[in-house]
Amino acid sequence: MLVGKTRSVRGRVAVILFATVAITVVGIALAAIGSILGLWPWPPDPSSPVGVSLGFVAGLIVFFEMALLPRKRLRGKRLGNTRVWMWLHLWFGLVCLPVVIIHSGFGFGGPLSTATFVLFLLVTASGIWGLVMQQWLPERILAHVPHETIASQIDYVGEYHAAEASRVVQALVTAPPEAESAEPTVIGSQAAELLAFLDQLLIPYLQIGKRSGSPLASLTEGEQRFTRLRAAVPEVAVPAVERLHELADLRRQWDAQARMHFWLHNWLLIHLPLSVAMTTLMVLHAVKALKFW
Amino acid sequence: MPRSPSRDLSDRFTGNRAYFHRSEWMRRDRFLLAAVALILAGFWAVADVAAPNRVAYSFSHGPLANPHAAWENDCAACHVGFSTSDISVRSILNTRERWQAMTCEKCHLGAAHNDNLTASGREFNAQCSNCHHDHAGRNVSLVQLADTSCTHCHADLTANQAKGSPKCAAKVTNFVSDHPEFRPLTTPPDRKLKFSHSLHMNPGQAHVKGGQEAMTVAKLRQLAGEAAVKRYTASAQDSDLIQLDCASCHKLDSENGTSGYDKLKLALDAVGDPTRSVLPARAAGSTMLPINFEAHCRACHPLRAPDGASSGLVISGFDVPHRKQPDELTSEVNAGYLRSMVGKDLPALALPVGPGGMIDQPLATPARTLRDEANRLTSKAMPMLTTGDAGCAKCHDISPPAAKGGFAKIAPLPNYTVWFQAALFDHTSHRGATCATCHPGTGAAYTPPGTQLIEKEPVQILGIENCKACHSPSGTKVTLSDKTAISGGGVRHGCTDCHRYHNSDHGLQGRGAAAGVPPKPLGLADFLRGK
Repeated sequence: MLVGKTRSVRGRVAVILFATVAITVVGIALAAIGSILGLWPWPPDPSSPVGVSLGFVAGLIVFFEMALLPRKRLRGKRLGNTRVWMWLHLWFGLVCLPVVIIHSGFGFGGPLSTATFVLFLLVTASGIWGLVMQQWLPERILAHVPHETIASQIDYVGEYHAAEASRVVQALVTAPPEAESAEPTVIGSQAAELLAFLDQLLIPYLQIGKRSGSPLASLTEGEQRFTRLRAAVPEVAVPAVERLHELADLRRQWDAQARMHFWLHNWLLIHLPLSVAMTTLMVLHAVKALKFW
Repeated sequence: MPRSPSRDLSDRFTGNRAYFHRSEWMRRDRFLLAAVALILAGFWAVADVAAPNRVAYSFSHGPLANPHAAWENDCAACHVGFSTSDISVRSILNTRERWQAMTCEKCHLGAAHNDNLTASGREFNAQCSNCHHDHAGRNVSLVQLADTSCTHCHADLTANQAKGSPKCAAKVTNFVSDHPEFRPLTTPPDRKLKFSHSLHMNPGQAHVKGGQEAMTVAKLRQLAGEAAVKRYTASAQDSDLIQLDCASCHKLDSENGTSGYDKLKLALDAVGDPTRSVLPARAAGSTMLPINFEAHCRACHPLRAPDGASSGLVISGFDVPHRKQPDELTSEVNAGYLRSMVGKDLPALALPVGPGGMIDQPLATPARTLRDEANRLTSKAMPMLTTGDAGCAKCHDISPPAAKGGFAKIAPLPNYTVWFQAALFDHTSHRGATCATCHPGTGAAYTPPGTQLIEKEPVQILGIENCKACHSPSGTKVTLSDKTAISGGGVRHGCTDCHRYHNSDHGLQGRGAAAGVPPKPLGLADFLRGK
């Protein structure tokens, strides 16, 4: 594991948070000790030799962190072990926090350095948040979505299942040409009820899931509806209704999967753009700082 | 062949097997947002390139102080320029020092404070900005500094001094805890002047109550005329005693243009003293104007050669100038008597010179010349003018002649107009308190019978504890000179509230002192361009 060998989610999250605080505190404490030993003033001035050096170190770390982006784009080139890359990305990112804080001299400075610093803190926070989510949600998906599918294809698979449900119901309410009896399995008001269930509740739900507003999105409501449906159809049609029930359950799992998948990856919507902005402003900050400071 | 269960899973993607080639919304939006972020950051960079002045301003820590406001957008007016050719590892790692390389001396002459420093001390001193922090707002003072600017060296002066021992306290960390006592009190100077404040504050400046020597309106009128009377008293009764107060002599401003100034000018004019040379047009008000004989003493203590007698004629006395050594004064007195005798038909000079006989009455030896007569009168007057009760010795220390026939020597007065030679004190700021609050022993007091008048007073200022009564952190326990324990007033008590580093603004040098004038003052256009 990237953050330790503990098998407990709670333990891994604790390790992440503890490591963040510990690395920051230790880094600042080392800087303070250096100051006590007379190596530099306290707080370290961003433009002092130690401040500039820390700025360079932080810059190098940020460039390394950003190198993960081309590394992913060029994954076919096999540029080192992915696990090692992630491990270094994670720990260098945490080490960068005290480095930047000390470099800043515990202040924000002008507008550009303030923007850069704030973006850096947001990037770090979103990274830590993402890391926590990565420890927690995969296990949760594994436990609560036994029939996990490809998250991006849930709606497509839903359409597939909607077509299957439609076929199943049509087979019940229409007599197949090759059948000896001209009577379909479900007739009359029962057939109408079954078709209404299919068109109004099941198909929309299978297609777009919870967004359809279907009562089947609720486990309890779904169970009640399918129980009533089972009681309403002849005994021979019950296996078909069970299949419909199974499809609805799958969609409910995938709704949950989609929700967890969103939380598992949404931090990247913040982490990546802000990283790009922060890196750009950091370069600008370095150029301007060396020019003007 | 039975159908594999996994076929159901793969069948779902029939017709959609290349789904992974299509972008998924979260991945797509992630990169879209990243592109937007990159563009926005790029705009920032473009704006910086397009408006370099804005960049320069954004890199300043804040607005410049009011005296420097004209150069708000012109970094190079104060900071030494830096170009790409100056880039080196050292310059990059020492960006702070590079940016602190300034050209303050163009307008400010920073006279040396103390050159006897270690290398690090010299390096610290060389950077104006180590102490003077600008870019902190329009109304921030550039001379009111944190104590650390001073204690950087003064907390351990021995360690920071290159050689020898410190000339002042070796360790001072702040005004309240370890600032030494004022130097005039620890090493009292020889004032070389006899003057009793208490005597002069008595009614009529008398030694004892009802003393015959008391100065009355009538006496003053006789000595110095009506102008002096109007200056010192509003009373019209001849028998009234003259009562002085502190302001009779000690003033912070000449009050040019007021009736007080006119009265003093009239009094000086009456004896022909140069009014304007002793009365400055306007003073800063920090220190008292200098006390001088012409303005403050002559009215009651006229300096005058006595009337002389020559062959039965009275040779009128005359005012003699002050600030003359006896040898110079002798010439002045001699000339004065000559002037008085010119035109007089002196019998001594008229007697014929001829042989006398035994039967003749012995004649007084006539003066051979006018000069001889003036010399005679001068030699008679000089002891009175120098060592006599109304002469120089009344107030001044006089050393006897080095050789017979030589002249006595009057000890020159040291300049004690300002007691604090290394600190600033603003009397104007302290006008709310009586003079006696800080100057003990300056009130009226008769000399008890059998006691001697203290002619040479000690330095009449209270010690540092008295200052701490107000100038210390609120609540500080302060014990005054009379052993009264009080709580500190919380008024500011920083080093720079009293001390200035540069000699141009010093205890003995005002802000306008020549020591602060830049070597090459600029014309207005160059001045505004910071050239």
